[in-house]
Amino acid sequence: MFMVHFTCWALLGKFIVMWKKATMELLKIEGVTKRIKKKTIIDNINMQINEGEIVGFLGPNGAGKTTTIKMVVGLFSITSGEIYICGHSIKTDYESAMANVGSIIENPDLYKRLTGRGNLEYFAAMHSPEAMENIGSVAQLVHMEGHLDEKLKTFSLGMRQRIGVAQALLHMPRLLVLDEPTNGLDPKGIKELRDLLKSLAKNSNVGVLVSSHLLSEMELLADRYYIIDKGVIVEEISVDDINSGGEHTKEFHLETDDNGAAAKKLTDLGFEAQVAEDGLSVICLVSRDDVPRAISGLVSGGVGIFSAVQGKESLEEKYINITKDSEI
Amino acid sequence: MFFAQYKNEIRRSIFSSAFIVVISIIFLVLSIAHPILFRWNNTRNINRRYGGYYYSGMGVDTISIDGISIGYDNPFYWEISSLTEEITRITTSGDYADLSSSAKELMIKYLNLELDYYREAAKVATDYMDFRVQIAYSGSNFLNKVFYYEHFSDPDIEAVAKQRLPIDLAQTAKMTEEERMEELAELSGALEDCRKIFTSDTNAAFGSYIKVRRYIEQVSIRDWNKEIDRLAEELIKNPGRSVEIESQINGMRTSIEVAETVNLPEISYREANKIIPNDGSWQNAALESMVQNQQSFTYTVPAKEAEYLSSPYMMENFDSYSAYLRSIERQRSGFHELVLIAKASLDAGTPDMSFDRMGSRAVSFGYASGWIGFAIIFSVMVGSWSVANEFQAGTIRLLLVRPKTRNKILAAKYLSALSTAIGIFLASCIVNMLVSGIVFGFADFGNPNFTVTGPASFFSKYFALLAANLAILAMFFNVSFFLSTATKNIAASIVVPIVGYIGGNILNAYFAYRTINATLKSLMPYMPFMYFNFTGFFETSPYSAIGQMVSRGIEVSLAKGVTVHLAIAAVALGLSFLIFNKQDITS
Ligand SMILES: Nc1ncnc2c1ncn2[C@@H]1O[C@H](COP(=O)(O)OP(=O)(O)O)[C@@H](O)[C@H]1O
Ligand SMILES: [Mg+2]
Repeated sequence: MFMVHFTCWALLGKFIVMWKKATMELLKIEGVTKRIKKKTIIDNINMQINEGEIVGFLGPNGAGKTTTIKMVVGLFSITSGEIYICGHSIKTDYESAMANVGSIIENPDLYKRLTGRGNLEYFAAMHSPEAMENIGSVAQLVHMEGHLDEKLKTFSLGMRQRIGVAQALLHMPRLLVLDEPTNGLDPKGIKELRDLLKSLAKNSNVGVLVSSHLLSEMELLADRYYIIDKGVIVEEISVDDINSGGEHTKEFHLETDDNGAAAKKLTDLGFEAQVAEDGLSVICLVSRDDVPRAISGLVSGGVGIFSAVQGKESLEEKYINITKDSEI
Repeated sequence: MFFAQYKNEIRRSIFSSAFIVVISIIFLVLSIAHPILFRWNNTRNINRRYGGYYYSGMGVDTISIDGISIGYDNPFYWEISSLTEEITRITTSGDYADLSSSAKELMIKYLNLELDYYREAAKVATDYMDFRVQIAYSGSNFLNKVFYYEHFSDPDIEAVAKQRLPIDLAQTAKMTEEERMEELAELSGALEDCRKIFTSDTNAAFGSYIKVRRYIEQVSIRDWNKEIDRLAEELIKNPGRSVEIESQINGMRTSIEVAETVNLPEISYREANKIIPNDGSWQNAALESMVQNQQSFTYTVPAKEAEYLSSPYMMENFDSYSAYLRSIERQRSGFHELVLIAKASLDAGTPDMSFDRMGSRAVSFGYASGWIGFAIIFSVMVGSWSVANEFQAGTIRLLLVRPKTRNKILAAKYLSALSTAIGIFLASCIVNMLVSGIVFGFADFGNPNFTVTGPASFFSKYFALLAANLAILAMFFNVSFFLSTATKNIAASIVVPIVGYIGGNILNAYFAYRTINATLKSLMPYMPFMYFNFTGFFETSPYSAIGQMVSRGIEVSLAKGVTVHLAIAAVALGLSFLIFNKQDITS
């Protein structure tokens, strides 16, 4: 339902014009640390988001996602480090920085006493005058145009989420920051949101930062991931790395006629390899580029190979490894 | 830009709140109803102000006199019914059993005389506010004396007098026949004048009123002078009692002074200007105020130092004899000021606001000063709701991510809520003024108020009151606003200032009439709770709570009150911004 309708083309056109004025870096987090009452919650992290990019911000509960995002949108002060939005420091150039970001932090709690339109007008009034004019088209984008004049207290959770998304888009921000936006959404709503974000990124060059503690929600959405744990960015990884390889190592599962010999041979060749727990295969960590060398090494060593498949994506492996001692 | 955000707050935040809208409407209704109810209630009260009110519904029988029915609301109803009963009981149930039958006859004769007198009075002086009532009661005093002197030679008179007549028998026994006849002639004349008042012709009755009152004052002066002579002789005989006797003599001299310089001139003034007592006119109110304050002025004289030193009460209340003297001087000048105001008002022929309680000025001033408590509670509610509401609803997270600094957002919230709290109060004052004008006439607004330095426009006093009230409102508003940002909890930020308001009023009442030590005395004028209502500072009366405090050396003043409120308001506002700017939005 977030599919872009014909009627919304005009708006999207506007978005494109606005957002085409290219700056590569929409968000830059530089050595940011957050301490609350002497407890370090975020420890010297660095992140960046470019135009048209959807970045997943993954981490178990309590990892520091919300804290980071709240610093980005000005809800939390920064203990040390710098955050720039479209080149504006949020410390020294707060209003310009904020003019370029739209956000939903946790649940979008709105004004129950106002109508949907009243809510949007209240927020729009704090942006540029165009924001007020965009209310109608943004409402169409989230399919709420028929309910704008109803009181918010009569809305379902799903409808509130849509108004929440609408308020983040009112001023056509170049950067969208969404903290666990799928909380409370049904699968259909999640898909609609995903489609909308993809369309904004693709068609309007919007940069999106989406946090989640569930990898599954991100897999079909993000171009790149930051994985955070205990306030530290432990991994930055892109989908290209995962799919098309390069030098990044991945798990390969090899079925051979002698798994023990295969493991030994691979280890001799300098790869990390071991027989799987069930003894039915050899698991080898190898980068995509090195796969031919590994296989020819085995063949020349007289090991018969029945099959060689890339194992589960190393992102999930990593994420599971990282989070195995944290509750998700 | 900032104004846009202010408008945004007013329109979509403040006036989208049903609660604020409802309170605003209540305020408006109140300001309209106030003058109307005031007028309605006043008309009702005049009819039942005294007597009748308390006995209504007790099922007492009315009495019929010459076809006129006298009910319990008649000022003489109780005299008539108890005299009637007294007469029947002498014959039927043996009251006054120790009197001989001829003495009983004489007693019945006297009681009938008194009964007739009151019946006559009851027919014309039908309500308690009638000026004839006072004279009618004085007349009953002449009546019993006249009866006594007329029956002086009757052997039963002494027995009757002992039982029923307030006569100093020891003294009359010493009088010569000639003196008695003289006294009788004079009293009969006075009684006749009193009886002349029993006519529905107000002019004629007023003439008698003047005559009788003047006679009473003159007799009093004569009696006091006689008594002073007697005491002077006694003083020569008993020099040991000099302190006591001299104080008695001084007391009487003061009474003579009051009679001569206050009461007699009042009577002449009434006579010359036809000011009928209790007729509800402002002239009467002004004259009564003048007389009362002149009397207070004359009677308020400082005690001698020796007397001061021997009174633990005075010693406790004042730091020193000179402080005591200053305080008395202050009270006297307060009374004097009120006398001057009344006099200036009478001379100018236009009422000061204080003499015309049913005038537009008094009613609208009364609204602006009397409903400040409601306005305080309203400000506290708006101030508390303003920021804490955002935290409690979680909307703060959507509010503070806008391209506006926190200072701007808070300033817009502050100014919009403050201007609402204050604006609604001011608007209700203006509406009240208009409705008062419609109900009581706009002309009254043009009348000046009188001060020691001359007449002053009503509005200068009215706007001074409003300005002072705004300081109170700003203080309460800012404190709740501060609590709202600090606690992020609406209930807490409402309850704390309201408890403070109520507690402060209790403390104020507690300290107003209480003996306190010098430290407290010097601290009190800087306590905000002394200034939760400024009405008292716009009244000159030394009897008011503020007059009492000032005269006891607690130097409260309007300027101090406004300063204290504004200082607290400034601190609270500064802290609000400090906290709001720094805090992490954890909700
Ligand atoms: N105001 C705060 N005071 C103290 N600790 C906090 C505060 N806010 C968050 N934390 C701690 O910081 C860590 C990160 O929290 P958060 O950013 O909410 O995690 P996430 O959003 O990734 O689940 C948690 O351990 C949390 O307990
Ligand atoms: Mg979180």
